[in-house]
Amino acid sequence: MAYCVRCGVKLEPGATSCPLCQTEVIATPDVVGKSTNPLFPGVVTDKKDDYLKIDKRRKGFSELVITFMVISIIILLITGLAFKGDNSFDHWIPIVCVLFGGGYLLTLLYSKLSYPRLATVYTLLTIGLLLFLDGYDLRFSWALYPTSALVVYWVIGVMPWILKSNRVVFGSIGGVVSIALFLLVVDALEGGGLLWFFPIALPTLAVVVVGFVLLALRFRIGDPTMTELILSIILIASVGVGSGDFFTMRALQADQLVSWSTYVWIVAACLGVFLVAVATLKKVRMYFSNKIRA
Amino acid sequence: MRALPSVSNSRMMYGMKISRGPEDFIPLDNAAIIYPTTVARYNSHMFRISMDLNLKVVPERLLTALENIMERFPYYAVSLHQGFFWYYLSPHHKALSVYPDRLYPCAYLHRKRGANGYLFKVFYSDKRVALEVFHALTDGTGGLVFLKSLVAEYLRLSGIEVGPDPQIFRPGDPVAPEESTDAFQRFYKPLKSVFSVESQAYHYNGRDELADHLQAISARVRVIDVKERSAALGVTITEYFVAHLLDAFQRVQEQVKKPKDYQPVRISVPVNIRKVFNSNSMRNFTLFVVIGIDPRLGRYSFSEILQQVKFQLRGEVNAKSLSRQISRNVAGGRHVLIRYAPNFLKLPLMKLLSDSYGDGIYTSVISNLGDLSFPSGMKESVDRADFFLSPGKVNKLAFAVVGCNGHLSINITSILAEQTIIEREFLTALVKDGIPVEVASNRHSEKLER
Repeated sequence: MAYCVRCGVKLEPGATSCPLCQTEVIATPDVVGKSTNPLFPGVVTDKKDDYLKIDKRRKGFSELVITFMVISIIILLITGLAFKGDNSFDHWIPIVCVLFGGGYLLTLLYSKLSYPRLATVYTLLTIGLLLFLDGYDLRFSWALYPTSALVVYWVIGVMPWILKSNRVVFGSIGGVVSIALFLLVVDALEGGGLLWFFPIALPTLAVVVVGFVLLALRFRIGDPTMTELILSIILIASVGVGSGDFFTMRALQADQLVSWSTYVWIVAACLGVFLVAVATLKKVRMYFSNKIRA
Repeated sequence: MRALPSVSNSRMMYGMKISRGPEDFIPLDNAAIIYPTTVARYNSHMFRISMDLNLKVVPERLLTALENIMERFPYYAVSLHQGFFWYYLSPHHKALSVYPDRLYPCAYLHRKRGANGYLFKVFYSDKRVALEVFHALTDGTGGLVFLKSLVAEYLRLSGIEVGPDPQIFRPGDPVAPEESTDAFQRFYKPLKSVFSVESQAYHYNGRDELADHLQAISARVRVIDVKERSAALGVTITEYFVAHLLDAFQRVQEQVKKPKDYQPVRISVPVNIRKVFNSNSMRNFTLFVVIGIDPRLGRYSFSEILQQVKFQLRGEVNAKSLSRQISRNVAGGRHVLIRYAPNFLKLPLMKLLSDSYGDGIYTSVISNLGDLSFPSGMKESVDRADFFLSPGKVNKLAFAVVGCNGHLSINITSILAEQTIIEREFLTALVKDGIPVEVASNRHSEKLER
């Protein structure tokens, strides 16, 4: 029998390491000994289905959720029967809301807790709920706006995390295309044909895309600071907003170049000059640096 | 197989036979109510007692011994069912089996498929007989009496005469009605305002993966060494182990937490209250005494911990303090809202209450079954005994102690896959205290695939 040199405990015959600290036993076979009647037989004889798949807490919460869902549905059904013939209360809408609400909670309990998976399921559930609420009378109106926005969110905020390679490239392309399509859908849904998509929205989007491409190039050729990145995003946003105003004035064939965005353009110009100076002039960079640790 | 007598389900009142409920409906005892509702993969509520013999175990003979003694234990020939209001037991007469022993103790027992509907499982290996019991059936003392009776019958079938012992029931002996009663209901006294809420205790989390099976470390020490050391400190063996356990958790909490985040360290100690209340019930009749220190008030030296343990444990183990617990537990089950609420409403609430006000208020559990005594014939045949408890997901570790033939087995079960820091702190403290410790484990020893 050997002893653990770290813990000072005697090890069972045949043990090759200490179970308390995992220190290996370095001793001759006659010191280590041979196991004759081990306490643990070293054989797994259990069937797989002898083990529960759900742990205690999840099972408890899921049963609680299902219980409350069932109670709510029963109450709503009884209330629906009581109000039968009265159009002021339709019990099917709250019942479906309870089912969707339960779906949200149970997804959290049973789905693997990964952002892409949860976000995808939640997006689908929300789209389903919105379409149901709007299309209950078989006529869709407002739900198409938020559902299109949710699709854009999924393409920009979730899809890149699902992709295995070229996340940035495909994520960026997908983001731009989905935003363009969203704006197209919104313009089309407003009726009267496409009024503002081609003259205003598309050129504004193009300006923003160019801004981000330039920012990406800046990252390629240099090593910008976090301050530069934040200011660059503010600059792109300002230029985007200002461009929106500019293209609106063009579409309206007004005499002025811009209406309300003059100050936005001034801010954008100042930021632009500063960022170009910082990117190109070392002295400016050093002047504005606040680095305190080597 | 012989038909087993069923448990009486009626009582006599003013000369009339009054039914306690539908035929074959056996209500769970008050302590058992919680177990079927909170059972889970990481909370199997199983315990295991095993005995190593000095002769080979023949499975067929062991099965015969089991079939023979079952007629003396009709209250264990039951299966568990889910009713509309409660889980309940009913007599069960399917074929009994014995199973080859396995690497991982106290695995979850499926109430229908696990052991052909029975709530216990008998295992055998080369020279070992082991009993694993779902806690809804009985407690450690009930399990020990059952295993001792089984081993005694096995020895008798092997040609070894076993002398009389109060903890050995023989086939053909009359079954005392008290054995199958719920002693909690018998000793219940209606009291008001006895419920106090404890704060959440420290729980070791270890940032470790949970193991697929129960990980066990078994330590073996000589009774005389522990007895001498604890006597020198003026405490009992249980108090000595509880103090070391509190100290181990205190040290680990100091390593993993900032002082401002310290929580009380509390150990739950199951107490067999049959002697206190003079009961012979063979169903659950155990209560838990929670003993603790509060490191938020400052560091406790080992002697201070010993004082606290001695004061708290001895102060709680008396009929009056225990009656308060019985009253609280039984009153809960008798409350009209609980009693008549459907099971599907009760279950989730009981689970949450069990986590928050049950497992949550103590850090770990240590159960000492005591030094086993055997009659002649059995004394020479049993070399070793072991006792294992299954820990829950909140507490993650459970400690079980049993003595046999001059040695104590301290079996530590854990659901943490890799971490053994608590086990190490506890056992190396014994070594530093001058007690030689021998360890064995099932960690990293899986040899055959399922």
